[in-house]
Amino acid sequence: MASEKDICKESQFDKVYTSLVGSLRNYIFFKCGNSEKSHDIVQEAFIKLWQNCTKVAPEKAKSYVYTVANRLFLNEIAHQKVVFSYKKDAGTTHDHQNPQFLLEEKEYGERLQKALSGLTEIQRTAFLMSRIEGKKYREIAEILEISEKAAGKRIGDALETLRNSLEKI
Amino acid sequence: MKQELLDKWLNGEISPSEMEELKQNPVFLEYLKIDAVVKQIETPSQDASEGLKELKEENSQHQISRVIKLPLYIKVVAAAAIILFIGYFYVSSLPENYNTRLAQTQLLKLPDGSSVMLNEDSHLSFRKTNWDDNRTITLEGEAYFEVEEGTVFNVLTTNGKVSVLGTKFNVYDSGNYFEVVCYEGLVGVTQLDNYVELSPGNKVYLKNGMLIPDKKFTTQPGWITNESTFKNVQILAVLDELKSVYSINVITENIDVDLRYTGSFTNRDLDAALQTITLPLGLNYTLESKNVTISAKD
Repeated sequence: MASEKDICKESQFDKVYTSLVGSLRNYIFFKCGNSEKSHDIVQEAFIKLWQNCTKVAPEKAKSYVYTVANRLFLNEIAHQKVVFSYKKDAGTTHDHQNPQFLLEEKEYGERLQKALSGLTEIQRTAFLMSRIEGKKYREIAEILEISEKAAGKRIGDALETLRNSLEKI
Repeated sequence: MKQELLDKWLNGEISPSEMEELKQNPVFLEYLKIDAVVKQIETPSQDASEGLKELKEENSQHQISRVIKLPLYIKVVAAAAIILFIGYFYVSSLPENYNTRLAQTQLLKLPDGSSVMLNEDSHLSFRKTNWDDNRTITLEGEAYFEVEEGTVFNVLTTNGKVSVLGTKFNVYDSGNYFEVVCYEGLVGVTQLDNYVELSPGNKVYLKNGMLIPDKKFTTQPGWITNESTFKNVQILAVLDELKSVYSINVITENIDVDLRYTGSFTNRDLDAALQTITLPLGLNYTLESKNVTISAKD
């Protein structure tokens, strides 16, 4: 009983992959900070989707790959250290050439990165989905399977925790 | 700082004037700085089409994905003994499943001696444990049942439920169509709020959400032997069945309507079927594509 949107059809699978891969990759990346691992996990999740294409309804594809990716993450790299790095051409927040200032900026970045890894996984994931991906509460809540209010709280808590961590000199 | 404004900012829905208001708060200014620096974090970028290509290559090479770590292997061996015990009890309570493909029929014997003939492209399941106390079968498609006397025998389908004590009946269930024919005994059919009891020679079918009663003159379903079998049935009813099986028109000319037929006609060859009906009854027939005329021999 193949419908128009059957994932077993290659063109349909491609569509699903293209629309979901970016967000899913970021999601796993925000959890662990490891670009390579997050790539491997996401690819494996989509391979499983392809292998099980007869059992997954098209509208359930998103929750399926997220669930599989989460499980793979837990099995493989949960509890490893979380480290983020900055883009090579990361501009400073201000246009100062002052080396002292630049050094302070660099330190700030280091401390922020450390503080991020100190957040709980849900706080960090929700926070980065909001700030880096620009996702709204509603979508974040749907992906993390929490309420919108809870999503907002996590993000707010993350902000406050980061601020406090950065205040300590 | 108002939570409402903060939420608006975090959701990208803030107005310039509201932004100015937030900026009055030094805590918010720190948030702004955090936000700006966080946006500098390097995130993975990948071409979706690259990823797709890679995925398909990876999938086509049969990789043995991971080496089983030794500790896991040992755990599995240790648990095996327990699993065997639990497994036995679990497996014996699992439902028995039977599936037929296209052009395949299957005859099954149930634990109490009742039998089921499963027609093509159908699916049936039941639990063996405690069968005598709870005779319930789940069916998708079509099956013919010969039920031994005993406790209530139920057939569950997506469209309705059939309950009998000891009897012979046929159930057809597929998508929106549902039909039950009683060949012997008494058959109870439940469909939503509707309940109908069928005696032999009677059937009921689903149309527009309602159960419509009708007659069935054959002695068993045609699909089992690919023949329609009759015992002392009026000729017009036999011709009705012929019409239905072959999707043809039948006109009769001056035949004796009290003629009764005992025998079978094949469901696979119209010409042969017509001969088997007309010959013993001393009738003639003409066949022109989908139109048949039956007349008396003169």
